[in-house]
Amino acid sequence: MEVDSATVVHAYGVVVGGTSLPLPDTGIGGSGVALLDAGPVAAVFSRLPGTDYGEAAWREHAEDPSWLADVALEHQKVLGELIESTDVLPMRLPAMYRDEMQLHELLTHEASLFRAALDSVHDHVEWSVQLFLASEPEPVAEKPMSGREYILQKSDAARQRQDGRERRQRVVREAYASLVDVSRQSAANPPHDPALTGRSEVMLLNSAHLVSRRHERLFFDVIDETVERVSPHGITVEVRGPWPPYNFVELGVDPRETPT
Amino acid sequence: MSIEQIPSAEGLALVDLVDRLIGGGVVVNGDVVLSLAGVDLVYVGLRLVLAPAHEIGRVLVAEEAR
Repeated sequence: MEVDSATVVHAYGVVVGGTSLPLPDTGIGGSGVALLDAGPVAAVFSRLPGTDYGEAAWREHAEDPSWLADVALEHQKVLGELIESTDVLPMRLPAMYRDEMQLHELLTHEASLFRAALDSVHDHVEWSVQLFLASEPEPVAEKPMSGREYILQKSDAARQRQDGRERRQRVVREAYASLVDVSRQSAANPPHDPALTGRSEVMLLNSAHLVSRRHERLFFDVIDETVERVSPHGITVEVRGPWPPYNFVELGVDPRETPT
Repeated sequence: MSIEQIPSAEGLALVDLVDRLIGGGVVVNGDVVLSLAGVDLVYVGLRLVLAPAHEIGRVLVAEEAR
């Protein structure tokens, strides 16, 4: 029989153990945030009421976008504060454990895997860069004098648009390449559908970059150069971060499997 | 349900976050409070956060067919 316990434990992320770090004041649902140190690695967690965030609650809200969005935003808020000062492996949702003991077992069991992942992103944060086509320049056309001229103008306009597309693709490729040069790792993700972003501009690039904290200045210099280079083509640049390295930590662990 | 109902926080595009929550980070399978079946449900939900209204039906059909 499954009984939801009075409280559950939500893990935000995994950090290097044995050190003290500044923790955010509040987590999901206004809860306190604490550190569970298991030696080589530690987890940042909150203890949450089982009635609101236990298994039954997750099942009830599994297809409830606004509930999930709230939890996702509160989860990210804690991670966003942590990444300001420390390396952290973000947990994918849902990240609920029965109690501290179960979370501690996971940390102990996967310590070497988590340590290796933390080492691989040490002193790096993730930045997202998105390029949008803000405006497509309209080809200028004179008023046609004859039917033949009209057809010629039409095909001219089509050719100009095609040239513009190719030029933009080249500009976007070059912009991405120059960002790759100042990142430890990069990922070009599929651009979002305008229906998702609710914006009319077309997304031309949706990339993530693992950037050294010590070389962030260099990265932002390249961002500035990119803005200058793409704006004449009607392209705008949006940079967000620092994110915990979601795109560069893809770790599936299964505590039921014994390591070989 | 439509995309307008989704809350957005200042300076953070929800779509960017959900993109990351679906595609990256540490996934712990097995002995967590929520069983694997439940985790799958949450992914349907998170995809609904993202999916444009006209695609929601398609996402659900695809999930049921699995």
